[in-house]
Amino acid sequence: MIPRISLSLWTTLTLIFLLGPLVIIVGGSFTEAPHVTFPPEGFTLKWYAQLMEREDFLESFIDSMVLAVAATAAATILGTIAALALARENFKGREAFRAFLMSPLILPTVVTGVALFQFIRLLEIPSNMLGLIIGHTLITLPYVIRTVGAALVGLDKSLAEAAEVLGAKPARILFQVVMPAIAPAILVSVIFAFIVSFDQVTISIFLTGPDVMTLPIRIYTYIEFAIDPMIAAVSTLLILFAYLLVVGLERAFGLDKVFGKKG
Amino acid sequence: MSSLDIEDVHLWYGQFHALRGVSLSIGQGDFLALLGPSGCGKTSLLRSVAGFVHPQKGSIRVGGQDVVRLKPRERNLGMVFQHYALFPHMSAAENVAFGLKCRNVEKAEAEERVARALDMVGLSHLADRKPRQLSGGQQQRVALARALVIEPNVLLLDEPLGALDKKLRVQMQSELKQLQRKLGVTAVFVTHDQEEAMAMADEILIMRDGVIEQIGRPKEIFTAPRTSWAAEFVGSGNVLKGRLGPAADGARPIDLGPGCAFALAEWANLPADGEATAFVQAEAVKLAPANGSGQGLEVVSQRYLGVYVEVQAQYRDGVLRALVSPEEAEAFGVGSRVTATAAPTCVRPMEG
Repeated sequence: MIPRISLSLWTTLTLIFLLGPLVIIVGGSFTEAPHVTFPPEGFTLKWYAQLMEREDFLESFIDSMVLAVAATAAATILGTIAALALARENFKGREAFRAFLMSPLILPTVVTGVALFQFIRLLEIPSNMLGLIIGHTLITLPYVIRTVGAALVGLDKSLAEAAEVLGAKPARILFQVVMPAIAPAILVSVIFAFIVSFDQVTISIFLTGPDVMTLPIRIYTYIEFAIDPMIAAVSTLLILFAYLLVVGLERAFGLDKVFGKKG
Repeated sequence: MSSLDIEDVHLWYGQFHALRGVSLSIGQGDFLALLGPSGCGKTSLLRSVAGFVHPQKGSIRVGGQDVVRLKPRERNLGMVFQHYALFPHMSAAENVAFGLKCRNVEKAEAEERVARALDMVGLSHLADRKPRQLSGGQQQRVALARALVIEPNVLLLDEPLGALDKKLRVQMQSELKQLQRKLGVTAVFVTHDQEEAMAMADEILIMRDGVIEQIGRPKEIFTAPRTSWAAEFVGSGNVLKGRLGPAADGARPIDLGPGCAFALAEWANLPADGEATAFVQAEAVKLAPANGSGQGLEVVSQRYLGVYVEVQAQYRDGVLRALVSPEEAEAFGVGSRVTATAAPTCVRPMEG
């Protein structure tokens, strides 16, 4: 048994370790100095004001949102269908198919990025946004398949059988019995996919172009030249955004239900 | 509500021959229990009737119609699963209504039938509860109402009481039996618990390695198992193996060594001379104190079972079990010597 005091000490240290960078970023965004300082020197909102004038950042935020929503939708639909297929018994080459679908997780992201770059040029896909959506769908797909697949493995097979014997056709079994039972897992995979897409740098760097630049790439290019507190301001807003997203989902669906706890 | 006729059904899972020519016939309104150890094929047989597995050979007729080629949803069956398989996101009433929705039953009629079904299992007041808000027994009743509300041709029950504790199980056994009799629905019940099968079924089918070991009324199974395997599985008595002697007083004695005096009243189908196998129920064995020390059988154990005391005595080939009243048992303490006999009509020939 770990003594209680030692346990709370560890918890505190872990929290400090995890939250420390956030505190420094948030604090640094309010500093009056021309570079990120912690503790902040004085208090000002001028970096936020400066950010508001940067239309390129706003455009990139919108690009990232459009991209994340589209890729998440595509990955969730395709991934759920794939997970349903993988959950079927007697299906030849299932393990090979599963490994194939999971491979974006295993390959170094840089390699996937280079490959996608070549592939999309070869196909002459006209829009950079479409290329990005394809790339992000590919990279987020494994998260959906894993999460939904785990829920399907845990799903009592007799539920579908009970529905079938009661007279339900396959579509009714899928939409009225199986999908509601795995809905929490689908919601979790939506969150995963959205965050993976929204944060993605490596893949995006190969696929952005003059007409579209995602927010992480915008930040990345900006800090190549200067690390000023405006970047801390962007980051603070992103933290707030992520927080609101999670709280919003919590309000809408109840995350305790989503994350495992059987309600 | 229909009869069920199964004829020469064979089922293979790859190389594994799970059902090896099973045939049976039960009438409308009968209650059949499929009894056997795990892996004997009883669940495979039930799932063949349900349509989840497809026997490669043989026919299954429900009310005269061959259903082997029909999908489960086309068979109009009610099924209760081992862990109930209630839809977790639906209330009790919605669960019960599911089969009616699949049949496009008009809303008003469906609501009325759901209400009646829930009332029948005594759960009207819990209609809006989700399965997780119900106890095991209540979930069981919802599952039963859901299976019965569609007025199935046959009700299939896959060890439905296995997850309940002993007291509740006994209560549910009698409720289920009463309901089945009241509705007159043909029922097939899978269990590995012989007491449960005895308590509920009109007909019991004992399965072993994919074949029918014996089919009969509970009393027949209990008092006259056909084979020594069935006798041991049911566990209601003693299997006796010995050489038959010449007939005397209308019975032929079976030699089991000193202290045992058993004879068969029925021997027509046994070899004229030679080894025979017979069965005698533990209740039918009569013990008496042996004359003189060192004579007869030694009592090796006593087990108090409430109404009866089980006395075990060592004989030539093993242990003989007898059920006697607690008063009688006092005379047969451990270490005492006894002799054993039974009325010849209670000693039944077996196939071996």
